[in-house]
Amino acid sequence: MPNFNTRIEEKLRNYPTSVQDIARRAIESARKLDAAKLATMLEVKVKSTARKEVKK
Amino acid sequence: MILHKIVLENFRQFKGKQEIVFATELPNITIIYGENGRGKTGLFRALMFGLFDDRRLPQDDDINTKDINLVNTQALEESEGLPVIASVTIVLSANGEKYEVERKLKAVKRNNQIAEQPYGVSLTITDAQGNTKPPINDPVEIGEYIGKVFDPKIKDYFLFDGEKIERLTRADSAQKRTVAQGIKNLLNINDLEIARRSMEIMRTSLNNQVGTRSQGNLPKVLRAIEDNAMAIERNSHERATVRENLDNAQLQKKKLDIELDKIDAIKTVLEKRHECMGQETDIQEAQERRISVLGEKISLTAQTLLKKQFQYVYSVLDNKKDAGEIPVQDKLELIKKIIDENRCICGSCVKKGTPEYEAILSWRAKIDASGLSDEALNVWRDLSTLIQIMPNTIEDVRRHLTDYESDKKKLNEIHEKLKQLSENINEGAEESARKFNQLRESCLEDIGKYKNNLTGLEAEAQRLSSEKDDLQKKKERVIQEEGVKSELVAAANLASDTFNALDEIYQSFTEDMKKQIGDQASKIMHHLLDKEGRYSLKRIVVKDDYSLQVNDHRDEPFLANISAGQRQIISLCFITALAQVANGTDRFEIPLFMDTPFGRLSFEHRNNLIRFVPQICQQWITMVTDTELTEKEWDVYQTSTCKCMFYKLNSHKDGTTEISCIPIENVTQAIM
Repeated sequence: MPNFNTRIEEKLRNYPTSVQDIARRAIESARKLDAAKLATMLEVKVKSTARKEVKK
Repeated sequence: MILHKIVLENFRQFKGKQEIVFATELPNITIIYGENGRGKTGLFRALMFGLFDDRRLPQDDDINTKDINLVNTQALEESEGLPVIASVTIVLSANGEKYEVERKLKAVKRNNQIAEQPYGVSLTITDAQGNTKPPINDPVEIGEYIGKVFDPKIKDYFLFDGEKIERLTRADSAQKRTVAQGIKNLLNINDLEIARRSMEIMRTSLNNQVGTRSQGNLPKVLRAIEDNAMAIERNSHERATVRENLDNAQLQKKKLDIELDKIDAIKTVLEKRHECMGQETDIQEAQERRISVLGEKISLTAQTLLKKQFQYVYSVLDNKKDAGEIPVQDKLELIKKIIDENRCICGSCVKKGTPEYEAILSWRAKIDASGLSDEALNVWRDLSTLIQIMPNTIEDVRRHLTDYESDKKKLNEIHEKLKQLSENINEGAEESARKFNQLRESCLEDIGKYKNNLTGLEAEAQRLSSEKDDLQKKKERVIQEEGVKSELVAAANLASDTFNALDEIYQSFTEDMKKQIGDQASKIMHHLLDKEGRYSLKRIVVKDDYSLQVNDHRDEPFLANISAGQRQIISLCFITALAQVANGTDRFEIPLFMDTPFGRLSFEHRNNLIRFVPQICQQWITMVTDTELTEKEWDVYQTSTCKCMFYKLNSHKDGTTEISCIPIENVTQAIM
């Protein structure tokens, strides 16, 4: 629904980029996966983002 | 999405091949007119079957699915035991593409038993450039394609039976769930919930991984963080439940008050009771204000306990000040100047090694040894102010406490009086009044209980929130102390931050949406209601648990008292507002397909609906009976600017129905 995407996007902008990326990915994939599978899928992404952040 | 055409073959009452072409030019309306039993609901069923393979409708309630036959029975009779093929073809467009879905059934009648089975489905898609793709025959794939243009989870909100729609405004918990689910589906709140939950799971998993790397206190702290998060979640659920119970009890009490007001025999006693309750509210509000003032004065009040000590310190400092021992800064600066310049302020020379010089040094040592710097002067000033205001504070607090005590006595007297009045009602009134009154007393007890629970839970929520902050700080400290692998900690922190972000977004998004839907629905309600309704009903509110409430002109809950027609209008306002808010536009992009929408509505309501609905939806398809569409309503249709298609369902001798498209100029004659 258009309004959902616009509003969530507006709200997401208030957070750090790394949080935005993970949250956006989680919302986009939530339609296809249940919470447990989504958590497993996103763990790799969270770890790699964290690794990059630490190395900065 | 726009519906272009539906073609039925041997489906329900419709024998042979028949079709309806829907009006699509904006604004539009397609009217399907027929007496009861002509197949209006059959058309509705065809749409649900064609699009979603649904064999049941929400209104089928207790009917067994195997008793619902979709194939035309007359065609089966005539086939003399041979199979009959029934089909529904729907042509629709969305996002520039055209979809044609055809769903078939095969049926045979033997020994008075009808056996039906699916007989294939196909979907043909033509893109915006006019290229037609090869047909798809996989039912799952077709379901996915249709689901993309029209989410099956929200179909009941746009394709509905007008007489059943008013159920949305009923207060029972099943309906609350239905409304909540509708809102969540249409606004994608479910996706947000899943995303949030997934981050919660990941946070726990990463915290566990971090914990296993530590030999020290970290696992314990992480466990405490998890326990705290769970307690916060539990507390939030409990508060929601208690709030709902409180709302219900207050609503129930209101209903009972209305019933009691109707009973003449106890009118005088009730008036006295209302008066007493007014006094009770006034005193309770004054008490709450007093408690808040006392709360603000609590730190000052605590200081009065140290009054004697403050006075002692003040007098010591005051004496030192009088003796010139404070402030010392000026003196020290003067001494420094004398030593640096070797000259006294009187002009005499003060050379190093002279007795005067030694006297100056000993003076400086004495001042340093006193240990009193300028801060002492600040303390003296603060104590001076404090000692001055202390008597006023004590007096203020004493006055508030005396007033509190006196009002407490008054409240007890009022409670006693209310109890007495209630007993009078029980003794003096007829049986029904007694019963209502007793139920009311029990409601009052529940309300008090729920309010207490809520206060306790809110205090607990505050405590948990500050515990959460403390634990977070503790975690960071322990991680630093124990030197746990930083990448893993960063991942756990990122998961935790993302969870917090999604949680905040979830809370603020749902709040925004509830408010926006309520405001929009109220706006629409004022277009659709008749004059009386517009006066008596002020606004629609979507409550915390997503249930609907309608407030009267005093902005008090009124849902329990509205008519079935008003309920229908309010449900429609809600659905429309929901679709508009979801789309973020004034015109929603899903066809509104309504079966018998006007049955319970007055003419003024019908008039408003006919004029308003085509302005807010992409397509309005309405199936009406002869009692819903008379010449009067048709006049309204004609004066609107809508592009209209009109179909009449005619009964055939063999019990089947024939669909005829009626030219607009002949409609008046057709409905007479």
